[in-house]
Amino acid sequence: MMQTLHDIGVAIVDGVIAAMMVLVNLLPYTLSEPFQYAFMQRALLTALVVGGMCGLLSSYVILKRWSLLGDAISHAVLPGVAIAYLLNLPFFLGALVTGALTSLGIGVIERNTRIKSDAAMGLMFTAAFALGIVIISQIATSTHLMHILFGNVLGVRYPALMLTLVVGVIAVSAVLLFYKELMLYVFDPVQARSLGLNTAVLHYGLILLLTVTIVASLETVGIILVVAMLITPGATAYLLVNSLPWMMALATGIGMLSAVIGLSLSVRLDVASGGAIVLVVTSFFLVAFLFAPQHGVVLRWLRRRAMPA
Amino acid sequence: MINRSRPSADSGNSAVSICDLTVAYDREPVLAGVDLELPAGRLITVLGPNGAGKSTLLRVLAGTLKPLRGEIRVYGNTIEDERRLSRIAYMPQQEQLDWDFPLSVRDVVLSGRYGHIRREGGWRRFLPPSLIRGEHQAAVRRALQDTDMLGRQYQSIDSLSGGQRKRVLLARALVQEASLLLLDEPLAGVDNASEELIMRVLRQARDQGRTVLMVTHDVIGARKSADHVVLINRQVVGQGPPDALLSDDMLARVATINWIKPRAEEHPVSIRTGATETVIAS
Repeated sequence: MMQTLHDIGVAIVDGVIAAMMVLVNLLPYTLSEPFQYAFMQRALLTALVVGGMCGLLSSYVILKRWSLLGDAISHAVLPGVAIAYLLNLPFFLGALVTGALTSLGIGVIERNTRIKSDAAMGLMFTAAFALGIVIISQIATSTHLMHILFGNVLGVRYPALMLTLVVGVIAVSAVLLFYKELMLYVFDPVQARSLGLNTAVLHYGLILLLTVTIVASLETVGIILVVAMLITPGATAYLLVNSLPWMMALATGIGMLSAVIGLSLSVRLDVASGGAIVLVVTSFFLVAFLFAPQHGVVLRWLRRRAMPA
Repeated sequence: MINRSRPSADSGNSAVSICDLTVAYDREPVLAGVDLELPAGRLITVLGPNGAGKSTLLRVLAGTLKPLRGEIRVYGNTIEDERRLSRIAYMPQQEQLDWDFPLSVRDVVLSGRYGHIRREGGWRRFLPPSLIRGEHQAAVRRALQDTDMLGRQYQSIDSLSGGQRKRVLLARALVQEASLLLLDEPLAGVDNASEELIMRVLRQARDQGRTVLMVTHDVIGARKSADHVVLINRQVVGQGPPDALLSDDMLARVATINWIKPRAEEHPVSIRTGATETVIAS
């Protein structure tokens, strides 16, 4: 049974890769050349999906001011991965559990003490991260730890790629189907509640979506750098457009583009792929910061100079 | 002169009937043992000093804040039921919102219909806003027209003035076509033109048979335009027609004697006793 399921998964992944390669081969040879190897094709597909879904969710992260929460969840995933490894369970499961527990713990501290949310987050995620480091230092080599922390997209195998694809499909369909509810919840939770929406479900649903996205991104950019993919594409798009659907579409595109460019550069220059991807997305942000039509500093400066004193 | 009668079981003519409502943040009660009957189809103003629990009362009625104790009926039903039928609309204070949000005026107003769209059920509830059907679009158009925001419907909300923001929030409340409109400080910080427009819209809603309940600091405005006034300071201090309740003499007494009372009063009931005595003594 599991074997058939696995085979079907592999077949689907291969199909998607084949479709992707049709497009890649349209690119000039110098760009498409590294992707002739199977492991590079898997890496490219993973990076595209991760970049896209992180970019999509980054709009919510920016607008809901959840950057620190994203940081917290991503760090809190580490002990889950370690414990799952110990118990010989799928690492996805462990990561999900500790990620969810940490975000619940943050809420408990916030509600029952006078400590504000930023401190509650900092406190919980560093504790969880410390637990993860301690467990991993006992059971695994430092290479393993490096791969979890900083990603190893070139080593992505079929199970991880399937997981990433499934999460990507879930994230995109959830955002498409519940666009209205999520938009209203992020913009005005009080109004959402007064219109009869279940804001608790929306709140935890969005956190859960973030958590599974982070877990699925582990292998590509790693725990530490996934936060960048959950913030920077959204922040860049936020400077460029003034409509939520366009912001989300643009953030998704920026995430995917950064993933592809970063991956190619990392192969060409022989540097860490996670770091390369994040540097590329940051340079997108820098360009928007300087040259965005309405919010960019250069044009704002020019406009102010043009104004009569 | 002042109607201080206890709420009765019969709520035939009242839009809202509140019995023994107590609300507390942490330990301190913001509203303590409030009994209140509000007539249907009127323009009602709730007046009170800062921290009197005016906004709290509205948020309880909007169903976004759970009371510690007490029973509330809106048109004879529970708040949950009325809300499920989209018959209560709530307009918050604009400071609660992030106006840098990448939405247009139209997006915000259309979001007021999300309750209706959900209730329709079926696959249509999953459609993106741009594909939402004609009747909702027509309601949006009417609300934008009434609030004089139709010309700015595609404008992004971060470029609006204070008065325009109020009008957008008002349009979002109107578009729900609710029978009870709850408005938190709809006139705070708006210029005369916007104020006139907002009051005209609210009177129009009242004339269509809706109940309009607004919270304000503005005694003079309330005296001019409300059908019914409720004075509140953690308790109902008094209620009645504005001419009678808001006479200069009465206001002076309420302002000096009751509203300055410290909030950390041990037994809130004593405030009411004091108020009643003062009122009777006058």
